[in-house]
Amino acid sequence: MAPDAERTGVAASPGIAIGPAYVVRRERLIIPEYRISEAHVSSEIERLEAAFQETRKGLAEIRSGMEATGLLGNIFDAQFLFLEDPTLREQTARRIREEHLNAEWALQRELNRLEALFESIGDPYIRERRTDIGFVVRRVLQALMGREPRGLRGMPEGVIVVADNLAPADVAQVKAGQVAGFVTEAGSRTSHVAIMARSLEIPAVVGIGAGLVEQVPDGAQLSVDGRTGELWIEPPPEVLEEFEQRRRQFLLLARHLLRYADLPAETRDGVRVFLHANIGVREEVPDCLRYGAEGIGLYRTEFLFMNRAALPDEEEQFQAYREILEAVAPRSVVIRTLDLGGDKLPSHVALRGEANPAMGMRGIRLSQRRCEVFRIQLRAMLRASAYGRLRVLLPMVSSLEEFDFGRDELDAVRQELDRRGVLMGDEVELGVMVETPAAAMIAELLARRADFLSIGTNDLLQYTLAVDRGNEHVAYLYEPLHPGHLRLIERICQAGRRAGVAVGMCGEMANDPLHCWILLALGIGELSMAPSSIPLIKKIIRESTVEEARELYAEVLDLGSAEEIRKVAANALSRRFPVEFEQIVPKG
Amino acid sequence: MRKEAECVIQNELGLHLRAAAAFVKVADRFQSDISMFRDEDEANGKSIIALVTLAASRGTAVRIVADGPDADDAVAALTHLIQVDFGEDS
Repeated sequence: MAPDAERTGVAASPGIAIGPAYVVRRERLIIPEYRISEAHVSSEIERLEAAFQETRKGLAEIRSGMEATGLLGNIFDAQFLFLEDPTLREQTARRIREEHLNAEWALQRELNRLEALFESIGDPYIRERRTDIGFVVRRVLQALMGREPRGLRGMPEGVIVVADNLAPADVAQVKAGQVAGFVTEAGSRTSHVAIMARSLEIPAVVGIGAGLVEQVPDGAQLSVDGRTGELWIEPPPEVLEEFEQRRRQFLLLARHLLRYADLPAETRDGVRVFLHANIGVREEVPDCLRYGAEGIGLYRTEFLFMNRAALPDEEEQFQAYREILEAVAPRSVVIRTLDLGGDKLPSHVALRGEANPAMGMRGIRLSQRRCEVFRIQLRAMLRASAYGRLRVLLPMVSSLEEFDFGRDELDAVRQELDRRGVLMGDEVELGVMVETPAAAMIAELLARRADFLSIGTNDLLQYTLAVDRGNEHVAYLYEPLHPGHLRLIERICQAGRRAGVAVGMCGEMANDPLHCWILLALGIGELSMAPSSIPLIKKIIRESTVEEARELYAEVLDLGSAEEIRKVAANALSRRFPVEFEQIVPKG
Repeated sequence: MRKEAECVIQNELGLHLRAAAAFVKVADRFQSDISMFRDEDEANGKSIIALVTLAASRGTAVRIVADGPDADDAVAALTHLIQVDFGEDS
């Protein structure tokens, strides 16, 4: 077991990084403040305009450079919008003209004013745009002060970048192999830096929290584990040694496991399982293919809707879905219809003030309530279905009526598009995400109407055990191997088998190699997981038999606690896969 | 020449980033200076930042003022845009 890390954050991109810190200290930008004379006003304003011009040129270059390598150029859109906006320039110029401030000071003041203004707006999606304005203004300030934006361009090789937050433009300048890792104070698994780090295969830990940049001296020795979220600053020799070993093992195994990526996941006794990938944004598609996903088992459409002011329109959704369907074809893509609770949607769509959003207006319920939003999404999906193999998945279903509603809407939209002569795929499946205990209990009824079932273990588990895993007091109870949870899953699998429809699993339970045999024994035909988990699961499946998996299942079926089940499963699997279980599964 | 008109923001999401961007796109086609007023607050009609910070949600009454050679056309085009909910789908 690893000794406790000094700081921990969100495990954002797998891998081990060891190296000196390269600390991006934003506060180094000291804004010069002085008054200018009337005679210098016009030249000062010209200087400001030139700096805007230079910034625009610089950002455009970075963007086109990124697009050339197929990376997300569109994340710069908001920044360009603000760079072009007259308010920022004119108000700054006014301060130069009327208050006789130098350009840097004037711009900084204008930034403060805008940030306060945005902060005061109640809507969180507008408030967040503050960051974009901040990024843009910082670059203009740097241009004004004749500083090359320090960015990440000129840094030495092999460093671990430490920053409060990294703008896409910063990360975009990094070349593969140049940076050993990223560590940031802010961020989540889906922030720009996390997504880009994963696609560059650079280990990253984000969301460590405030004070990191202060704490880490430039050049300090760091050890980072992007799978566990651990960060060590100047670790003692025994920790350093352990990280060296983790790194060697990680690289060795990663290379070894990639050989399994393109092989079918078929057990020794001939049972074929399909391994699919869960994704949230299209930038993850190349990863899926590289790790050998045989389809997308869950495309969460929420990211299209989050962190923005307005809903994406039909055209934008259509383009997003089409891109993924095309990139993955002829493999299938399961697109889940919008599954957001009141806390994540633009405020006008969802209901405010729900005391218990997890059990509130979300998933199919919200789609029923806001039918027009649902229809736009279905229309975009069906139009995109002409470009690949689409399977639509309805979240949070707990009754037959809700499924029927989804089916009726899909049929209605299909007829409408048909009348307009729009091209569509003709084998679009409609499935149910089984994630409420009620849906699990009526799985055999749902299975008669749905084309497939997909078990969403994250929510099924939270509702079954009545455990909110975000609540630190009860998180220890959140245990996928709970006998009650296993029995529900078994029930769903039986229902699927009887009705002859495919049963898949797309929750995090499928990621963990420890669960692999149990899921194999239950006969789940499709497992969908994080792309990087696929090679290991594939290897285990290819080297196992369903027979031995069933033996294990028979053994654990009557055990009364998750802990016992976990112990027996870990025993059985680590006997068969000693190397993988020692090295790859970091937690016990 | 100065021209003005009152209208009510009716789209679902109010004057958000996208709606503001759509507004600026139309406003930029005209030579006239364009402002949007919400009560006493004035925003430059050609600035997304200024428009967004008006925080005009659905149901807010705003006044569009154009001043310049093509003020008539500008006000007509912009009130139309608001009436069709900035071309949003929902």
